[in-house]
Amino acid sequence: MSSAPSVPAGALAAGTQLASAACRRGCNGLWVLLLMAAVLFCGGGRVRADEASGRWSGEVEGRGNYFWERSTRVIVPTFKVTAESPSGVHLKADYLIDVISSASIAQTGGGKDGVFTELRHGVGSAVGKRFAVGDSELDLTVHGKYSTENDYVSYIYGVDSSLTLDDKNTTLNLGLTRVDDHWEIAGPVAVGQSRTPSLGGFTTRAGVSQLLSPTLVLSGGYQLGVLEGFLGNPYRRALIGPLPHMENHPHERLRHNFDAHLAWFVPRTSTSFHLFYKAYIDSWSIAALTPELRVYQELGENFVARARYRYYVQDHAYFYESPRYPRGYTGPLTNDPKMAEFESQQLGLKLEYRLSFLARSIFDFAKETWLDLSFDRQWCTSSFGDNVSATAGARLPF
Amino acid sequence: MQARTGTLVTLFWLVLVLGGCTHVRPYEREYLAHPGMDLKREALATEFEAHAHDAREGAVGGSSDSTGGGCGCN
Repeated sequence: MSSAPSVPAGALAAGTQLASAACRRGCNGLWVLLLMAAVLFCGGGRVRADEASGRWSGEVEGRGNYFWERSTRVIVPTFKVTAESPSGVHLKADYLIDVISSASIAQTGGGKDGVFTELRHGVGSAVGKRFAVGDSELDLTVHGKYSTENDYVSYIYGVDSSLTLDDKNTTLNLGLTRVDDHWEIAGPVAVGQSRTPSLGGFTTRAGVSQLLSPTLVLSGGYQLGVLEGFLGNPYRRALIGPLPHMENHPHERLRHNFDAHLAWFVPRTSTSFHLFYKAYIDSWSIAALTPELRVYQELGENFVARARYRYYVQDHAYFYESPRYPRGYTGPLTNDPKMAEFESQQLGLKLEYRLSFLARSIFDFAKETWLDLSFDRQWCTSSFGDNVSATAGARLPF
Repeated sequence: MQARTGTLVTLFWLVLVLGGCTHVRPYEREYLAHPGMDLKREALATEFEAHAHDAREGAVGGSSDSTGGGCGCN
């Protein structure tokens, strides 16, 4: 009995024809990724047949998210399923609907204020497989996300990989993600401005995670993001002198992210400490720092409480002016609050409870379900103002 | 601010490299499996939070796996 993945020749041939046809139509890496996903999945299917005695495991998760700030309300129900076969094939699918109610001129797309409600649908999926490479393990995953509102469509897709070394003491990560957005602007556009602008780009991330002791893990990484195309908001206006003009951001942006995460477990009290630190700088001269501390306290086997504090501070973009640009100004324009210099502080509390009391009842299948409820308050000095977010969710492993 | 950032990032990486000398055996990892140490449990909630931050902060990306794209989050 062989456990090596093998791909049926028919699947490969069909996949190759599909990809070739797609590329002839001027398409791109999305089709190539779909083909890779099919190959991974087909290979896993063959192995699964060899290991028929095993069983799939996974998790179903449902979640309701709520966000509130001075001019915006967002409600986001989300749903996710993950599954993994005994042979190491793993799948993920998720769906969300973003219900955004905003009271602003920018979002209404016209010159008057009013309440505007918008829906965003997002569908994501991922297929991956773990391979044994000597004493190490290699995980390859292809993923894609489709997101749409009434005036834009976004495709995000890519490949993630991880390799464990030194008896899984060290894990190396490498990922590449492509972003492909298309707008169809409703309402007036500036002279010379396309009604259907687009945005393309990619991000690539390299990271490492290292076990420092039986209770201490340190990880860190670097991410480079390159974006090119329409990077503004087509409905936002900035003032040059007394007159409003359509926002005009530079058409290229280079982002650098450095992040680190230290996790420490204290056995005597069953307390976990997580310290996060992110440093960011981009080609628009925005530099930002984000330290965060989370503390998880286990209270028995079925209850976990989490407290967190997050601080964020950033410089302004080089072309940001407030409240208005001088008469005759011809450079990049913005009226985006996140281009300004500001800081924010966030406090949050989360409670999790496992339904273990359902064991040996008719609901025994749900005894490993975790329910959670969280509440966060953020104080922000930008013109977005303060905000509140809350989530409630349930995770059912199977 | 950039100099301070560089120093802190360097320190983290130094600790990471030096810490690599310790070898943790498989049977010594029970603590790492505790709920408070497993942040993959929070992946879906983290995605929502990252999207909310992306729409309001200039610094997008990093380990949150967010890439920007669409809805004025760039």
